Amino acid sequence: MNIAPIIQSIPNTELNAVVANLPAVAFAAVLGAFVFFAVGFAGPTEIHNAAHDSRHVMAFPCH
Amino acid sequence: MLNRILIVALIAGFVTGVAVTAIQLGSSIPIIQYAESFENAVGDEVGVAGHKHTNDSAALSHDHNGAGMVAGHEPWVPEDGIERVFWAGITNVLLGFGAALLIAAGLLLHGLFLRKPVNSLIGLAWGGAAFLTFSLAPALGLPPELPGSSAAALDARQVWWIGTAVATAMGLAMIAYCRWLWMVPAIGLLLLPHVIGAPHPEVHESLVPASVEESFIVISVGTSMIFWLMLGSLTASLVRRMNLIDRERISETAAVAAAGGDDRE
Repeated sequence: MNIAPIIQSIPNTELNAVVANLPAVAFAAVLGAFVFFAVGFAGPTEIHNAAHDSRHVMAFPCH
Repeated sequence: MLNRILIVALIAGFVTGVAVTAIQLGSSIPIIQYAESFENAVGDEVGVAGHKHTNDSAALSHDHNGAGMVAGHEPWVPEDGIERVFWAGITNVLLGFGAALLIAAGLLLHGLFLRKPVNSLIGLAWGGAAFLTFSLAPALGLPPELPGSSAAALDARQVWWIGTAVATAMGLAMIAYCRWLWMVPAIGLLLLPHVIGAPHPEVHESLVPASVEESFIVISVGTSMIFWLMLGSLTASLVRRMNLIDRERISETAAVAAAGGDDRE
């Protein structure tokens, strides 16, 4: 999609507010992916055993 | 901003995780334990842990009822009963927290940067897309398996799983947010992992009757669908309630955009 007209139409203060939120959104996405994949994929046996039943149900590849 | 995103994800993850644990308690956990009874019976006979597929290190330590004692150092395993359900609950809440953060980030991109409304219907759509991405598309190639069935090497399956999730997420995002011209590569991305094909063992073996395996697949896909749809709609309604996207500001700028000629609307 063409976002240039949208970006141009945003007042400067508004654009700043949008840009100001970008780091928080990016951090949330990275933290979320880390937690989700750590629980689903982490190798150590104890973590595997604790997460075992849910890994099977959520169809993560498991042992 | 970050604090409020974390609070949203904590609440949505906790509520969804607890609900899904209750569902698992009455459905999948008894089936997994049933499958393990076959596995452990084999383990007792042969004198080793029951897994036939030993391509990965976790396989030997998998069983839950002590058949692996032969190996000497038995790694920690939650006891059947309350302890096992407790750890399943912790796992589900953590999965819910991580997944809610991902969905919240997506919803904020949708709301803040595209300046479109965020409501529980949009959340349901994002939850549905996440279900397709993280559950259904991977499960089409690698159906959820019970303990005691054969599988290809763990590494190969994990790589295929992650590749499938990435390709499906990109394909769905292109369909939802790009012009129609992008449909062709989007559909290509959705199909690609299944054309490549998931890694499978040469011979499929299972200790558990096929009908039990099938009902486990249905239960598992159904449970993850509930997980994602609940998480998506809950996260979206919390994003709205916590006013993560300032609605007045959004409508103001949307009006400016409309005057400036946004041809997408």
